[in-house]
Order: sequence, then structure tokens, then C-alpha cells
Amino acid sequence: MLALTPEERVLRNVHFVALIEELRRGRPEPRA
Amino acid sequence: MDPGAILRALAESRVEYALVGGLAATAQGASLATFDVDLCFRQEQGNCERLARALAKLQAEVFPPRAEPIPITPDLLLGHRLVHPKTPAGRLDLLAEIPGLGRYDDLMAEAESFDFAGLTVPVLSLDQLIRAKSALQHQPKDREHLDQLLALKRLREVG
Repeated sequence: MLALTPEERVLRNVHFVALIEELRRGRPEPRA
Repeated sequence: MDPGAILRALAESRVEYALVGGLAATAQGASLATFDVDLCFRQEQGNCERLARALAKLQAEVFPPRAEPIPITPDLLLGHRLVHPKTPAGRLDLLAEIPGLGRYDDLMAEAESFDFAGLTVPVLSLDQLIRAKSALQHQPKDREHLDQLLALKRLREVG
């Protein structure tokens, strides 16, 4: 991780967060 | 989340700010997933006017949305220590002061910068992130993040 530049680290976060949000959208809401 | 669009709008309007919080920690090497862009802005009339202009370009709205939308004006930015706008490029946390570090002018002496999409982005140093997180440990998540930052510092020290 330290080998990446700060810009690469931020871009990695952007991709990571986009994937997490995609997974959340596809996950059914928990039943009450 | 499109931090490039946010940082570009800030640069185009010549906003004085520093990147703080999770994205700053990420830029410094922490392995966090951070969903918003946290900024400390210089809370002064001219800068609040420029910041309000940048936020208008970003189509920012106060979050959570109100029945009657609250316009993000220079006066609103001058009068609040914390504003949470939401934009199509992502959520922002705008802070006039960082616990443990102070206001924009206090933290800029030690802040660093990095290049992002051709822009020079001011960012808290790792030591500043550690001091800020040490001053703010309200949730277990904060303690976890502090441990990550301390481990990162150790990694840097051992090279």
C-alpha cells in the first residue's frame, strides 16, 4: 500500500467504495 | 464518489481548504473505505463566498434533505462549524475547526500536499491525522482508525 502514490491510494478507495455500494444495492433489505 | 470533481471545483473557485478525515488518511496510506470527502475550510468571508460558488457548481444540497431546501450561502458557511452537503459527486463534511488541531490557519503550517488529477491538494500530515483522531474517539471505529494510523507511522519509521 505504501508503494502506491497518494493519488493511486485515493483512486483505489474510489473503486473500492463503488464496489461496496454496488454490493449494497444488490443486497435485499433485512426482514424486520 | 468522484473526489476529482469535488477537488477540481474547489481549485477552480480558489477555495482555501485542506483535505482531512478518511480520504486524507487514505492518501497517507491507511486502508480505510471512506465514503465522503472531509475538508477543513478557512472560515473567512472571501473564502466562504468562493466555497459557496464551488458548492453551487457541484449542485450541493444540505444533507439530510429538508422539506424546504436550505441554500448553502456564504453566511451559512460563516456561521456554522460543520456543514454536510451532498452532491452528485459525493457527500462532503465541511469543518471550520478540527478537534486537536484547530482552525485552517493553525493546521496549514504542518499540512502537506499531494498531486491528484493535475491538482495540488493540501492534506493533513500523518502526525496531524493521529492528533486529530486522538482527540476524537467517540466510537469504536475511531479507535480502530487511530490504531491504523499509529501502525502506519510505525511502518514508515521502519522504512
